[in-house]
Amino acid sequence: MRVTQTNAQATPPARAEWVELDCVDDVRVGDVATPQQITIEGADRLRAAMQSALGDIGDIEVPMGIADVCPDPLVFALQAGLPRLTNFAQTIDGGSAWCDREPIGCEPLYAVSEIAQIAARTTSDGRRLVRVDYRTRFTNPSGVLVGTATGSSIHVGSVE
Amino acid sequence: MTTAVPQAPQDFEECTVEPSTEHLLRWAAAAEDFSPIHFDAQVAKARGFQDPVVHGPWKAAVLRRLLGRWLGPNATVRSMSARYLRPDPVGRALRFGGSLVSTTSMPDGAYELRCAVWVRDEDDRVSVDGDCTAVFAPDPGEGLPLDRLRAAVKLGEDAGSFTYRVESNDVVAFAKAIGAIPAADAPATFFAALDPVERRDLDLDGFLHELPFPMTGGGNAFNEVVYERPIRVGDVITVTTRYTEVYEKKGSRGTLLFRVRVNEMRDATGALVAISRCGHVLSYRIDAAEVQK
Repeated sequence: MRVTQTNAQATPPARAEWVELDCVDDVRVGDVATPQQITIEGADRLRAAMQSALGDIGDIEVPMGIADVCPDPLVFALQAGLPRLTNFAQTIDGGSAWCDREPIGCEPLYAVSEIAQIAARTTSDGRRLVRVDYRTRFTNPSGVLVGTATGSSIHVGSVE
Repeated sequence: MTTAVPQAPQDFEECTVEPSTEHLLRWAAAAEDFSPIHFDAQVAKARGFQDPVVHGPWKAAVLRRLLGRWLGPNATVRSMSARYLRPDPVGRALRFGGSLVSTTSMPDGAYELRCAVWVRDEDDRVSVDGDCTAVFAPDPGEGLPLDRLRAAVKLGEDAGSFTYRVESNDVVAFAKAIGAIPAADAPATFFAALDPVERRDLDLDGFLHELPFPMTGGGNAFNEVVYERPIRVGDVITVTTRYTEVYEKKGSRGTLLFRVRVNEMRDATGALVAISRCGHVLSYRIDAAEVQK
């Protein structure tokens, strides 16, 4: 079910099930950020960071994936310029997902971030919970989709 | 490290990591997430946390690295998701673990591995749960995996059907690219533009680019077409692809791997428009595989 709801303080769904929304405040499903061109150089910094924390385990060679060029999908999409809800008591990173479709080469990638889904439900103690999913598609210079990264922003309201 | 196909179900060996502020600063530099709730106690308190908290994606990145160890070098993670269920204070030990839930053989000879992963705090509370799908490619042995390739491309069977509408822009651009005069009838070579493989709508042999042999070249070996009539602007063409041959030959650039496919093209009435046949070759330096390892 999808409903249009433009006011963050509007009555939350009565049942503790996720209900899809078209927008909350100025955050709308389908909002697209300006495309970005990114390089894979940051992946080296990420590997070094993981090696510092994991020691020998961090030395394990894993094929480069979208998680190496976009380690934090939520931060990536927000830095691309997409809006984030602000009128809530608490805002946290709710989760991440990465999907690799094609091997990543040395060439730059093109990234387009969008707001893919907004959903809301009521917590067991009556607070409003809104989840905004930000999805970024990565394509190579040939236009081939190499992968996607999704970050979820969770917003918790006050007890009503 | 084992290269045998992992058998499900099995639990992975747990790993304990104690994330420090330094670890997270390095991570922040790489991920460009400098939110002070990860470093500044006062800001963290103001945001409702008792202490600075570990980045959720940092925990996911640790899990991803560990999956590389748990699943071995023949496995490649294709997708992973993680839900961040509760904050973890910086400086506390975290346990990382998971299990292999299922191993499923695939038509191309590889295996799909489905895993569950988690992070637990010192009180055994789950702070992250997630899942992962990986592909396990068996060792190809000392030569090219011809049997696996034949299975992957469904040799001799219909590998897929795709429908394309021929737009005026497509024909005009194609004609210009080859130096022809644009017309309602597309140039004869336009049949190649309706090849689902070249259009990347059909990709059954992508694993050939991940073999442990140096690739020394590749390209089209031949293209031929027999047609009943030209392709015209406005046509809606359904193309059915069938691989007919997979074989290898010795060449000057190494071992040559040929894949031959046939595209049968029919219009909206079902009438045959054309049949094209094309061969593609990749060359590998098989002898150098040991050097590369």
